Amino acid sequence: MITYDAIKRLSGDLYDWSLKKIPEDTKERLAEAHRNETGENAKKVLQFMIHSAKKAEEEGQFLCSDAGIPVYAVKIGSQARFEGDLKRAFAEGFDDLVERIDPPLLKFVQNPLTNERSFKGKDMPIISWGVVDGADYLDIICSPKALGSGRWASLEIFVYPSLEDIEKYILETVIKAGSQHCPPVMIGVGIGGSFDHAAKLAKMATLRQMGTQNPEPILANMEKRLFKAINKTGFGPMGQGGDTTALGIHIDYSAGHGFTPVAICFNCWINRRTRARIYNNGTIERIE
Amino acid sequence: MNKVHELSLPFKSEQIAQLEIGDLVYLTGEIIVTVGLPTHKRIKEFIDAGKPLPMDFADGMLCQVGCYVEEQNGVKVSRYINPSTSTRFEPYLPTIIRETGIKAVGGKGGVGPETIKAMQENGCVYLSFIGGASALTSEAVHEVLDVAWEDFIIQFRLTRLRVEKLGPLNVGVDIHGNCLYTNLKKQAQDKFEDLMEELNRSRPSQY
Repeated sequence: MITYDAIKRLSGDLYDWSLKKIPEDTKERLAEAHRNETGENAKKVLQFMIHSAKKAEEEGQFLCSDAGIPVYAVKIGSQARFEGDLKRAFAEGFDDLVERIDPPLLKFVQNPLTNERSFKGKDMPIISWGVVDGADYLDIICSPKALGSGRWASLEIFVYPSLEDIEKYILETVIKAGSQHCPPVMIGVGIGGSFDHAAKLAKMATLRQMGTQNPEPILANMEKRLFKAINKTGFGPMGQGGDTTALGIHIDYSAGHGFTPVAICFNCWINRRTRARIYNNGTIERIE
Repeated sequence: MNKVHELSLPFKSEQIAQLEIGDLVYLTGEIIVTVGLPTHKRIKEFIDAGKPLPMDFADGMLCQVGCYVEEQNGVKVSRYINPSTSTRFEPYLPTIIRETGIKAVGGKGGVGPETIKAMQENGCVYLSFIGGASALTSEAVHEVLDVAWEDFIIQFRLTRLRVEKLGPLNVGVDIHGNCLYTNLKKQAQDKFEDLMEELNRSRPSQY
């Protein structure tokens, strides 16, 4: 049985960890970018980023002062058994974290109607729910989101777009964002389905582990070519000019109707993401 | 070859005049930080109403930087700092630059065209922090000197910090109106057709 207290604690911990450590795949990409970067300032910036992230991880400090808002992707195993309210466990997990986290958090949860800020708000934490058939666990990903990279996400509805139309829109969106989203960025793209589903696909695409192969050959090819094209735009790390504007681009798709939404979103270079599973027997497996 | 400068505050005009876009800067002295939109709005309201600001901005630097200040044994200390997106303060920065005598604005991502114009007219530069690198950037903060407008939430308050070797900060806009971000955007836009052509050429024909 997965207990209420265990979910509450784990959801808070996942947020805490995401603020202090960048994912291993992101570290590797940054190191690779640093090795290959030819821009003089860009190389210095990448080095500063890598050192700062290392210091944050070793000393339990924040990577960024902006902790964003709590965002989770939860998959419930159809064989998972838990006691207590699941949604409330996440909400109270965040409340609890606000009390115990060190260093303390600033207030970032904003009411868009009044611009008031606090640690609480309607629909907080934002959780996207899914199901895994046959699994006896809860799979939880925490990926907090803030304005810096969040504001550059974009969605447009096309009608029977060609692959060229889609790639053009992605490139236009990348150029529009320029260097304001703290590059090098992780880019997620969702194609097809419905308005809401495309956005979810884009967000989930950013969470896919870097270096993993896209199972759809058309998209695997698109990712490879766009990655190259985006890094030729020349914005570079933090807009210092250089070869490293993106750490990766992941694209997913869904069948849909003739109208085809294309959604694009960005994660800044710290690419905050943690993941764990909690099993019926109480075991917690930290995956990222 | 970009130059590296070690500057101290308050700034002298000739120090600021020598900075070129792409140069790196390390700062020592006092800076003012806030990430509050309402704070920038209030600064402008004070200026428009001719009311004195709670801190002296002249020859200084206003940063769109968030700072967690807490009190330890009666002394205010900074736990961490980090920059925010400067373009969202575009409605207020031109007035602040023209009326307060600041010589530098700090943040990340650059500033808008009206702010660049105000910088050019007033001998002010934009210095860009490295976003997301709070752990190293925060090391430069040695003292919290003053906190004003405490009716705001922590990161929105006006906070005066004493920093030593804060940086590297990158010169994003110089006093001549040259802007690194405008140049990079234009470069990318100019490449757009070629990049699309390359994407089309490299797309397998069966797709």
